[in-house]
Amino acid sequence: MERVLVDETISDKVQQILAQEFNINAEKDENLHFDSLRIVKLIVALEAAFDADLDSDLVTLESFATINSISQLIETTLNIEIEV
Amino acid sequence: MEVRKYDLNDQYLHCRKNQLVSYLDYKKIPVDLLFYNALERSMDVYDSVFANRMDRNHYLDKAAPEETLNLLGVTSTHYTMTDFEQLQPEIENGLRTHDIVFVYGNGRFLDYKLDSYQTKDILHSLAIFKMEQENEGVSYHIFDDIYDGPTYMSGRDYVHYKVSDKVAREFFINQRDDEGVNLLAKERMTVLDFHPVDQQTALAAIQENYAKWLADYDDGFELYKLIPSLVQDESVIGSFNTKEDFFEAITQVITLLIGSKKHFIRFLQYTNSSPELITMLEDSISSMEGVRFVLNKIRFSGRVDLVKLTQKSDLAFNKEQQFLQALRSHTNLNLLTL
Repeated sequence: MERVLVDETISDKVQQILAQEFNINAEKDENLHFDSLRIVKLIVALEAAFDADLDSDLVTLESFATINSISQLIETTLNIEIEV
Repeated sequence: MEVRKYDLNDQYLHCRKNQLVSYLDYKKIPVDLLFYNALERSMDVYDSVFANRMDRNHYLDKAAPEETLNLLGVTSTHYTMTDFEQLQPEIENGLRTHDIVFVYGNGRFLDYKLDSYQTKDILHSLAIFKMEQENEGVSYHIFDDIYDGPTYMSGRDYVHYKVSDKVAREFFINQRDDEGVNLLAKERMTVLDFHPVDQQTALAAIQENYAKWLADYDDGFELYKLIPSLVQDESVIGSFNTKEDFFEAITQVITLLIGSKKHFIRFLQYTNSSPELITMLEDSISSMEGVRFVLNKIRFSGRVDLVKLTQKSDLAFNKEQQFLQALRSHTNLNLLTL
């Protein structure tokens, strides 16, 4: 599995998933106002797209406030997995 | 009227109780004391809401009961009329002598309530704080949850809406008399009155109630051992109309238990309980959120990660046990020093 992704690529991918699967067209820093169920739905979509496991203690409303914050969380998670 | 929503995530209080407690909080009544017994037994919630398919609103109607309100000097008066022509003058009278009147009705007819408008019957409460005569007729000023999208989003404070006479009338008169929607609404309109109470007497009574409750309280937390097997049991899942209904019910159980603990924390905080105890309960809540998170991931992905679900459930089981043990050993709670 290719895990060498730069932040910009992740953000673009998140933006694409939000547009395609959630019909949300948001700027990268725009607040998304997600409720907890929608966050889990997005996590499931992101896990499938990035082949990552985003665990519960990493996931808060704040982490999913903007596309950029989501992207950073994914990047962190992927880096952790690479280190392991 | 800037009433702040008490149960911001609607995890423990149903709409009416949330409005009522939030209003009492606004009136500086020490509402955190109402939740001295908010810690629900996990299997009670499971048996009622999951196994017996009881509406969570009906289960939760016991929260903040009248007798505890009375201890804090609050009494409720209920009106049982079913005719809107009778209700309207009572609202007007109620608002002359009270800040607010609470009216039950059917959310299907509330045009601002985007999650149910014209789509489903849902018992809902209106908190009316002003009535106004306008050119087009009477309107009612209310506070309610925010509904700014097709899905209701919790975690946000009340906002103000204006409801027309036509909408209020439809909301009130179109309550069904059969299954469900008006079971809680026999009391069609409610107002609250306040009476002076001796603070020490009230605190002593709540302390006594708390001691009795704690002596009787027990929980084996069997729920957490049960959860991993439930998601694999096709006979259980098949007993619900859809798989989604199954996940909705089991996550409702967890959410309700989380909400009950969050309310109990507010009682512990108000009564200056040990910070260690509060931290333990917060840890317990986090572990339950972990269980719910994995359940929701299974719900939306269709992939059952049994190892993770069992790990999370075992953690929650242990955290719950540790907290209950600690709660029992903290017997020095003294409300009379507040």
